[in-house]
Amino acid sequence: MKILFSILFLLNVLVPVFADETVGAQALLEKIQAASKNQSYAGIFVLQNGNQLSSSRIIHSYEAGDEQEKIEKLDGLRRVYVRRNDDVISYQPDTRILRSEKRQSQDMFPAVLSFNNRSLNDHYVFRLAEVARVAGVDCRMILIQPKDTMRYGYRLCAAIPSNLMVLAQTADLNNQILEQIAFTSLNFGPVDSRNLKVEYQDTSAWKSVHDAVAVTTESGWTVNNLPAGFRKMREVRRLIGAGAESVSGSKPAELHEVLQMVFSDGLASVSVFIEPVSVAHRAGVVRQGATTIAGFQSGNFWVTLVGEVPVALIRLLADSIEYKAK
Amino acid sequence: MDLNNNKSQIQEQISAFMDGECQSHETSVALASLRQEAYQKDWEIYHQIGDILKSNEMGIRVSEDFNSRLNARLRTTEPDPHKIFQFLPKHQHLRIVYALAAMLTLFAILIPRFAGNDGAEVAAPYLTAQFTSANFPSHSDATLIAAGQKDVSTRSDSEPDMLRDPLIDSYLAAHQRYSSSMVSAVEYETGPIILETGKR
Repeated sequence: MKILFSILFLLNVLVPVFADETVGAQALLEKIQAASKNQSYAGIFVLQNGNQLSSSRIIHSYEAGDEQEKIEKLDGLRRVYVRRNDDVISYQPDTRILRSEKRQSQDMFPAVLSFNNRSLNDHYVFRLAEVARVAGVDCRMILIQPKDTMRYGYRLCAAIPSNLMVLAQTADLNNQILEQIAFTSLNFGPVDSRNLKVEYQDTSAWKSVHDAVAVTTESGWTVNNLPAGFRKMREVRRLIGAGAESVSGSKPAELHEVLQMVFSDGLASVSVFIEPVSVAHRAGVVRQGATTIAGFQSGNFWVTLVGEVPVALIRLLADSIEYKAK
Repeated sequence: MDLNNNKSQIQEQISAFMDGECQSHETSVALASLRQEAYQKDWEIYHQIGDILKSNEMGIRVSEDFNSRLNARLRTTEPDPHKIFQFLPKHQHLRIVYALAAMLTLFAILIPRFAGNDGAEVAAPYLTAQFTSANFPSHSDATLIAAGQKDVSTRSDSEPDMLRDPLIDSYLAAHQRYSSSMVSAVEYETGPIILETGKR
């Protein structure tokens, strides 16, 4: 009987503690998302994806509701991105290409604001963990553990007291780190507006490019067996191919139209691309860090899936893609 | 001596960084070191080891009688050591014996990880992919590339994988454009574009 009372006592004490931790972690996630927008900071962060490692310098300014940001890649080909609110200009000096476009994804990671917290609770366990130190900044660790094998887990660290995310890791079910972003240096406070400018003042001789996307509501293609918590975020028709940069330096394929459907559970995202078989493709599955890419032919169509999710989810989605005539 | 100790320490820090176990000052050291070619090789090697030993989630299968066939093959094969060793200097023989012993030990460790209790088909990483969907890449046409096994730019033409497909980058960029992933938060790369030459 004593043991029973002890267990009941522990449950009474511990359950509210865990509940508080969950609420606290989710509230912190929302603060993290807001913090990346509404304060000024400058620093260098490193992105590790599999064995790929790159570093970038970021300068972010927030003043009277006006958000400005400059990200400069420090490795490989020189790339500079300048953003003012939702307007993004990308500079590619080696190819003399200038891209002007609207930022499409408002749901910066973690995209908790647009999601029902209750839904995320069904699929992840949120825990506040220890205080750690990243880039010389104290931060509070948040552990996000998936409840099934269709998602990865995350470890985030929010700076104290600013709540800026200074570390984000994606881990598989074995807690193997697949992808991580971490600041290696970080300074808070107003930034010099001159540092937000780019050195390329005269770009009149550069090639200008713009996005080519058309929103579609109902193409007839569906994914029947979506795991609980995932929902379709977008469906667009877009162009793929020519003009796209190639990491491998290989010749770009011809420009052609594809259908893109984006699914997300708030933390993980998967895109399904469908197109008539018109250009040469290679079937296969590739994993780079947390990103899995799979391509296969189904009838007269070529299907490509891309997502920061386990292969198990990619396989599940691939098995349930269907065309239903309108 | 000090240099060797220092190298070993840096390698440990790189390994810890890869596993996400670095303290901040160690992270800085590891990152600085990774700009040197010698340590970049260590980085790749650690990843390859990690990929082979730790990943067991990929949907790849070996046939259920793989173990028995392998054992049978080993029993029936009578290797002629002279044929193997005749072109090698004498001191190399011992190295090969050690290498074979190490490989067999690795097999002994890894095979049980892949083998199910009931002897059914089980997952084994980084061999050939097979999926339940009839349309999904099959044994013959799908090759699973472990994260970090090789850089895209260093792959040879004869290696059949979709990393050589130039469209991969386009799909990846298009996905990141709309995804809420952490990479998308710091990358503004986009794929699908129309080129317009000349003045805007």
